[in-house]
Amino acid sequence: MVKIKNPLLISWILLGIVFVGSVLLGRYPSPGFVSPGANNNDPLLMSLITNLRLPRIISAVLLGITLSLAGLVMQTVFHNPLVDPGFLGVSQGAAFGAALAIIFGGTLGLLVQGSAILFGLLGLGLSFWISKKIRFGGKILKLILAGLAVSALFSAGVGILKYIADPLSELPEIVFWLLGGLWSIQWKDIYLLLPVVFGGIVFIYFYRWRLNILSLGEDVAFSLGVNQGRETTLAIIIAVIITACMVSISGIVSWIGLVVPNVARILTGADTAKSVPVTIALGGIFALLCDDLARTLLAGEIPLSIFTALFGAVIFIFIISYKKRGLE
Amino acid sequence: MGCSANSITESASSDVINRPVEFVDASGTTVQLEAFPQRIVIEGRLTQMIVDFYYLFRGQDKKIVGIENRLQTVEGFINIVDPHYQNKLVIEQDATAEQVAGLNPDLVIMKSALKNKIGSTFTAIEIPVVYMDFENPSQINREITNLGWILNQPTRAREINELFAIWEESVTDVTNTLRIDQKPTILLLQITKLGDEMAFDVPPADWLQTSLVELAGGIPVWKESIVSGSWMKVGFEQIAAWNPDFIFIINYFGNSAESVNTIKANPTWQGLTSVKTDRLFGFAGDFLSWDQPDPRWVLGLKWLGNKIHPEIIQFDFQRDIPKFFKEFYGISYEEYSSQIKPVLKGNF
Repeated sequence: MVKIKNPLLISWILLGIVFVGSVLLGRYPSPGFVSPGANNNDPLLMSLITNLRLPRIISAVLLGITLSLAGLVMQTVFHNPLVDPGFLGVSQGAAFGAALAIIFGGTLGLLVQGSAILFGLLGLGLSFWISKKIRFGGKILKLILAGLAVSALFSAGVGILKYIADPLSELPEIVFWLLGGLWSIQWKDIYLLLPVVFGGIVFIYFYRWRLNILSLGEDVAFSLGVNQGRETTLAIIIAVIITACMVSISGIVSWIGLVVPNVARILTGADTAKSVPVTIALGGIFALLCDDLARTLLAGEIPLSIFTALFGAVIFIFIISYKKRGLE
Repeated sequence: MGCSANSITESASSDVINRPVEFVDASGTTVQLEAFPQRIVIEGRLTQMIVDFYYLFRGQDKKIVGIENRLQTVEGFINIVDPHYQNKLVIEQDATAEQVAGLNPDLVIMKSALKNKIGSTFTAIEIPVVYMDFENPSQINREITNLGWILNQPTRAREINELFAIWEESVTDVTNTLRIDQKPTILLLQITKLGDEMAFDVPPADWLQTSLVELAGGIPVWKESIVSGSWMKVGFEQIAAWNPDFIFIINYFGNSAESVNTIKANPTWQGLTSVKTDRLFGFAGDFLSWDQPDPRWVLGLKWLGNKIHPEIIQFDFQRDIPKFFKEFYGISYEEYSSQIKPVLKGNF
């Protein structure tokens, strides 16, 4: 654990600063920051900030929080710091669902998001179902193996869909969706998903004390009056549902759910009561900074996952390279 | 230059050479054919555009034994000039050289970008390949000339190139005289609908779409900013930062005029100069949008020039479109009226 005084306060102040900075950062009227009073004289800038930039920034924060929290839950209940929310076939399932809708759904509203959520949850269901059929190993090992198999199945399905997609219209959309991005976010997307996502985040926040108990193993949990099997399943399902909802509008965004919980644990220790609030702030900061780069660095949109993978991998290498800061 | 349309259309089919000549194709390879190809396959991506250029050479349709079936509008335009066209769409997407070899072709035509991936496999089994690109007027001129050598119709090739030059110069003779301050800023956006969302992409600097804007007397605002080698997605914020004098919307899978109506109704877009001044247009097209590497590019150039500089460049909707199809493909006014006019799209 790295000694930083009050990491909770510092991370939340940082989140606030990055949020305000992001509102003022953009390509209009020229690449860079605008002064806070500039929008009084420019109605287009005002419209741009309120109708496009703000919903995008909020969704970036929500995406970061969701993926980080889901990653923390997964890593805690699976006693493994190297799993992330895409585990258990959710990400690949959502990718398959989105690609399926892009090819066969035409231009029906919400179909891509709906299909992504549906197949993300189907991935989860399949993983649980297959894990029950495995005749060896403990519950965790069974779920890991089942998740690997389901991910591979959906991954093959995505490959087939990319193969048959129209190279001029459908394939670029599938590729861009798979690389992740928040370029199309509007208020209506947030209104639609906020109840579920916010509800899930609040649940995990208040559930953080019990996550500690789930991490202690079945016998200890039982002696403390916790039905570990039931509560582990509940925690996983909540984490996966909010992940599937966010992934349905953002596409596949990698590394956030793996790296951010590990950084939070380095700062706060393994106690989830402390690491959950810091994970929330760090997840928001990480995703927001990456999305700021994605939307402002070049004239064209850069897929978000390029930056999350780049910085996530650099941070990950940093974490595993130094003993004192290493994975705990 | 200076050929009349009638003399061009009537002279076309005479063979003027007895054996194939050497020529350099789009990949920079010197092509040496032992005999004039009689069994031609058109393979790979964007076959529609190659096919549309090929059919500028009349009476050559029987030489095509296979076309890869990945066209934007298979049931559309070419059926008018070749009723047996559907029978030639016998090659599945991404077919290998082994699969195509069954057609026993003596020449395969494809884009140069496919040389390493697919083209080399044909070369390995000694099937000649000619690569073609149509991304700017000089490339188009070269490929028409090369098609003339391949089909033993060099005279027709010259005539087609002269026709292209006549149409091009009807615009560029005017726009070349414009000072920089007389050229408005232009943004060309391809629209894609994904669910309820609209996504916008701009073309790379070296594609025909960018050249079209410059030839039509405009300044493509995206040209210096885009680093991608393909269509690149841009957000509204960047579009607002460019805030060009004109915006043209391309819709390859729907009517661009309807897309324009949707955009105009969006309050955020109403802050843009081009929307306020009613200079937001859906790019014209018929079966294909006229911005593409297709013979229609000259039609697109003239339409675009007229939209940008209506006071100095003329485009007569009733006259110029049927004239193009008559001069280039020999399609009669009656055929045009019944089969092409009904599918015209965009803002005229």
